[in-house]
Amino acid sequence: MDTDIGALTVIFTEFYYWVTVPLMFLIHVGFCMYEVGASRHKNHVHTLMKNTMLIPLVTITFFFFGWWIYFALPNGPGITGGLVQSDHAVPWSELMGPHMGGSTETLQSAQGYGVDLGNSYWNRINGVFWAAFLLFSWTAASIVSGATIERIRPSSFWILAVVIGSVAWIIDASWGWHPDGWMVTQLGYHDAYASGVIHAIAGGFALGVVLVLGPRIGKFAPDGTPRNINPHNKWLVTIGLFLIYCGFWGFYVACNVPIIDHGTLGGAEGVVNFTATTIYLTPTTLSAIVFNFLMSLSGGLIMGYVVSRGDAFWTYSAGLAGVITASAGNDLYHPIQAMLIGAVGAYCAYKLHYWVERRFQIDDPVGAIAVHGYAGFIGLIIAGFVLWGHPATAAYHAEVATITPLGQFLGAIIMFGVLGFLPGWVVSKILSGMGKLRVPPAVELVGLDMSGEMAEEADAIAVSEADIAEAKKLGLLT
Amino acid sequence: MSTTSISTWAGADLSQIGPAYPMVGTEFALVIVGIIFWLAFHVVQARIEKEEMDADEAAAKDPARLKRVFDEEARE
Repeated sequence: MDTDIGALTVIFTEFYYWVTVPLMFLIHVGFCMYEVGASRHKNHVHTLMKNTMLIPLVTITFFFFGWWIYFALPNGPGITGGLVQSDHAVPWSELMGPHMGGSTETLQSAQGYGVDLGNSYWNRINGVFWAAFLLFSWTAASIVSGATIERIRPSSFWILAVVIGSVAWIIDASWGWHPDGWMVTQLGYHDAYASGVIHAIAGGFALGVVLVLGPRIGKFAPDGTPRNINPHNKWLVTIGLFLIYCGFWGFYVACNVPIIDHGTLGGAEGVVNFTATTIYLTPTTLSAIVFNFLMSLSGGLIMGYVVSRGDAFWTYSAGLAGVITASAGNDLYHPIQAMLIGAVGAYCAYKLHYWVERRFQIDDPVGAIAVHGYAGFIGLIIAGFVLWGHPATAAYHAEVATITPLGQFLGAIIMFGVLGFLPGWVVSKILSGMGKLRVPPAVELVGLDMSGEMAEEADAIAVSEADIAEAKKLGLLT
Repeated sequence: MSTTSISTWAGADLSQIGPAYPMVGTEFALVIVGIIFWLAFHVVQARIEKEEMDADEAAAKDPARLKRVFDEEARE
């Protein structure tokens, strides 16, 4: 901050991440609309509140421990090293609040990731960078929310939301979405726009929860044939999905570092090369991701329309599946490759959703497991082949790790299975064992909003009786 | 008098100023209070939810109400 270019770089970066936050807010608005539209009238308020209240719960827990996890765990710990000291990210750090950037007594000896950048960097970046990551946390939890509608107890869902939003996904980010993460340096794992680190893990987690939770009453006939419980309001569903598309612009740009001199990262010595980078500090451009976001969205939409024969819900969902499938490599793909990869992902997500539903009686009311989980998993594998041999690590790493099909496959297993499915299934099993996971069958039948609706009915009757009494007093009624 | 470490911006050199929030030094205590606030929500919410579920279950025992719910569901 003591030179003009330094100050501009830091303040531009601060503003850049800030812009991503309100954009990503739209993802949550979209998820809320989508879920309410997909649920039946008798469950609307609970569906909305279930998704809304994950916002404060994931936010405060991400402040308490999520942010620290990201910086502390890139080595495992125990795989490539120990815990990384991360003084700027502990919740009691002076840099986790309004700070002017000067040295303070307690932080003069601060250690950890990026400490060389100093207080005058972290005091401006810490909050906006934290918020950008936090909005990813909400997205991960919100994906799980959709798969569990109309039968999970909100109290249990909110515990699960904290597990996925402030623990599981941020461990995977530390391992596979960090320039020094062990999955990146050892496996050559590459997932620039979060096919795995958000979508596959959230889909896997949702599958683990739904497997324990079971289907909604009436979803399957006694012989196991699935019945369609159609969206209550298809317009709300589709506008919700449109808003998620809008929010994805923020999601994508938040995955980048907007401006950095590649020379300082180990690029050509003595040459100043300002560039945007991925989260791995490998060079990219905003143009690359704009091309590929739109082309993969288009590939998904076209395939979704064809495979679902014009079904609105699945066409929109397939657009999302297209983006999610291509996201792992959307910093590098040619736009037409991104389009084709998006189309493949959308096709697989659609087919797998119905196959799993029929074969295993899995009730995923919004298709979240398929659109996020299966598409994300497949996207990682495809990136392993298409980007085979490309460097996964930033220039400053002495040993170059390259992208390979095996590294991506192992990464997909870790994201979907180890950090997604497993914790979702285990925590759900515990909650189910305590009798706390699912609402009682009678409540599910009558609807989760019934007591609220009865209170509203009583209010309406009281007002109506008061009106009748007044009308009688005025002689308008006898 | 200021609850923060800053009493005036006049002549201030920002490179020498650290935290700007009140009561610097209480961060650890604030974290403890914050965690209690978070956990208390889960305890209180579980009680609210139990009362609500009991009321919902009682409502489900009224066949007329249940029929109304199912009729509406069929129309959706």
